[in-house]
Amino acid sequence: MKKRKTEQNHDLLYRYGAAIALALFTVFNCIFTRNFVSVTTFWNLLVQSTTILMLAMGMTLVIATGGIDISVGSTMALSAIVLALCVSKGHIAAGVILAVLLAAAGGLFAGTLVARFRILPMVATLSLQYMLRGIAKVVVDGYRISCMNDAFTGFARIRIGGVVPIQVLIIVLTVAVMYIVVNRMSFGAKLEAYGNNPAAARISGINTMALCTFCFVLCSIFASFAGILETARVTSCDPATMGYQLETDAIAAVVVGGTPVTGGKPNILGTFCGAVLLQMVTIMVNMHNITYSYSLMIKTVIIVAAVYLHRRGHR
Amino acid sequence: MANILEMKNISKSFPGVRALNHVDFSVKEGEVHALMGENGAGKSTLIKVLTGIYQPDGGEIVFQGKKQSFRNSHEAQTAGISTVYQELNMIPYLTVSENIYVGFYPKNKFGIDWKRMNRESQELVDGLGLELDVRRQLNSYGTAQQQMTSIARAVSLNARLVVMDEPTSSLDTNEVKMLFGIIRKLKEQGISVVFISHRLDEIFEICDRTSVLKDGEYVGTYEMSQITQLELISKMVGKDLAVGERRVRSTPVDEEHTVLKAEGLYSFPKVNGVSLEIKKGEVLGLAGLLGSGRTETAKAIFGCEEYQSGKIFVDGKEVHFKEPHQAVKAGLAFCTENRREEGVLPDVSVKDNITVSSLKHICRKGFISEKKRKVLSDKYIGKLRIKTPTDAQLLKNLSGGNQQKVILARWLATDPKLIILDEPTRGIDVGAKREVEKLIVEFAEQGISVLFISSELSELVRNCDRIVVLREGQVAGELEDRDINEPNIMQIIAGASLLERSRKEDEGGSEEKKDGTES
Repeated sequence: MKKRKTEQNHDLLYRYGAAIALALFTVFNCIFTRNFVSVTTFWNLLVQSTTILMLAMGMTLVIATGGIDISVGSTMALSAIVLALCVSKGHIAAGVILAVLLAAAGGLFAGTLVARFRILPMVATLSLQYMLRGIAKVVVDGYRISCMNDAFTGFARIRIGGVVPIQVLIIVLTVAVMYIVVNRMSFGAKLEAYGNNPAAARISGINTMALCTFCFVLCSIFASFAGILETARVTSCDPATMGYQLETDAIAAVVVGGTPVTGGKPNILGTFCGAVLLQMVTIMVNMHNITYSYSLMIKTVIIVAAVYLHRRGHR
Repeated sequence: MANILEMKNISKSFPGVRALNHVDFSVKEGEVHALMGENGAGKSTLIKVLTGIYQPDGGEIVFQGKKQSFRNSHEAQTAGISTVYQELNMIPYLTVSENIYVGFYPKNKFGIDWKRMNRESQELVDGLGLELDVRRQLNSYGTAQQQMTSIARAVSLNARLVVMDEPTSSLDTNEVKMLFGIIRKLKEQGISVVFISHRLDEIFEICDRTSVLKDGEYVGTYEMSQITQLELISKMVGKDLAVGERRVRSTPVDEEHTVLKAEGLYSFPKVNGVSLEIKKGEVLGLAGLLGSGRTETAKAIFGCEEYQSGKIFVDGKEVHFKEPHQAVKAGLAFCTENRREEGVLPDVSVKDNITVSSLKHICRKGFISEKKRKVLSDKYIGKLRIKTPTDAQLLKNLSGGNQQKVILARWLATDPKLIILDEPTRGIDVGAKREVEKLIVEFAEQGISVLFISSELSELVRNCDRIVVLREGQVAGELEDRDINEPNIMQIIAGASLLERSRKEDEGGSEEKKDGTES
């Protein structure tokens, strides 16, 4: 039956659209981009996507609730600064814990504003965006902090089996865990319900205030992970530039991945594909020696196409 | 009288469902023609085919003597067919005038001709006898007037055929009278009305003829003057049903065990001191006019809305639910009256919709057991006879009546002590209504208490063990078993209003009385 096929096609596009796009771009680059087909490129691609991917994982949850978190870049900065300060004095573990806790506190603040006081997520996280970056700068008087601690920086250079960068392992684990949480646990079911119809979810007995707040907390925690990993890789942290405007890329990755912007089922694999795809565009443009601006235009086209196709699939 | 509309041999299918199978439907000029049938019978689909929202797989539409094929609703409206929907399609933040003309704004060389728009829409509204200021925002008016606005819109588009889908479901008695007045005015102007409703009394009052659909098939067309209510019901349902007998309980209510007690509930602005009690296994009806505070009382009990004073006891223990999830944990359930805003999860599957409130029963350490989930969902799909091709179907694709059944299933799956049902049979066909009533009875016999809020008195009379009548947020009266019948309920509702009026006159001092004398 012709009708059934079209419906199935729409559903496929919705669920695997980002993966298909990723595959197409990969093929294109393998053919037309010199030096693309190499192991180094492959690992580089994944390692470079780590930061955005981490941010996007947390962002996926918040967007699934129908909200948005534009403070993740600043959260990243604050976590990173605190960590760098601790590491430069030799306290790695304490630094990590403190970084995560501070981020969680910020997320709790934003989440409470949204869930309990009904403030628009954009507005609530906007305040956090300014506040956290301000605190980050004040804490170090605006100076860049370097953390030349061998144990710490060595971590970022670990290659498993001498081949696989540690960041790749982290990505795979993170995506796997998130996929299970969203698709097999009751948290995921509740999140999907809440994103679809918050009023109905509330009446159905879901603790929507706790759920919504928790998503913002998780998002900030992921932002702190991104900050930790980036600091380890770069071995320093500049409070003004760390994570600056990265929230936009994170949101782009989630949108391309297929999670409904108005709230609904989080698409974890989609976000992964979206993040890698967008990073691939940056690398592709580099390798063709084209100016950076073109990468932005290509990304824009991808984002618009993604939104259009996802909405078609929804109907 | 000529036929203004002839739909011949219309067929329409969706994946897994044959919604319409060679259906015929004709409407004469200037007649009010009812379209009846159970939910899933195909009424909504037929109307959507007529108004261009769906394209039929087969058959033809002849309107005003010309063969038509509408590609979208705009074309249908331009041709003269307008629809007034059950769930209002108006834009609350725009003015009445803008809502009437949206999509068809009168223009001058600078853009929209606001003056002309306001003037013409005010004339239109006045001509229909409505007291509306077209320059006011639509949401400053109540549901009834908003609905009148959508009728005005239909007329403004020079509609020759107006389809009204369950127009009276949110209206009280006076507003229904107003609506019928407008429908008669439309008739005078030669405009035909297709009236979709489940309310037999209203259909017999206002309609000339009725057509019945059943399971996507055309059953027949009948003159209202030549058919009885019972005959009509049997045409729709296919079996004979008696209306209005009270059921006899096989297990008695457990008088010793009070499941829920509310004392002196005050919830601003609609609840002004309500007290009630529900025993185990009892079906307590909550009657009253629209706006009397029944839903607000339920919401206060359930934790959806806050209350300023009063006490609530569940199983003898005092509780104060601040959020619904606390009430659900305590064993309460609440099937709300507006499933679209507060019940349906549209892009979620039927299976997940049914199990969403019972997750803790099918989970272990946070992980969902898909097997248990399917078992639970299948159990209730079977029990409530929910019509869906598969349990993976998204809820938004089901008919209104089946959506309501899914929400009911959701609550029954939580195994509650007490279930609050707020207008559970609204927008459901006669057959499904009977099924829902049977279920309510079944669960009451098993010891689940029911708080049954309804505007359909016959429903309450048939199923309740006791009835409490609310009036302006207070308890106006209670009826025990033997005294339960429609006249008695009406009397308490009416009696209270007579009392009110005389009280107001006493308080008025030297105000003029109704007959012109001074007191």
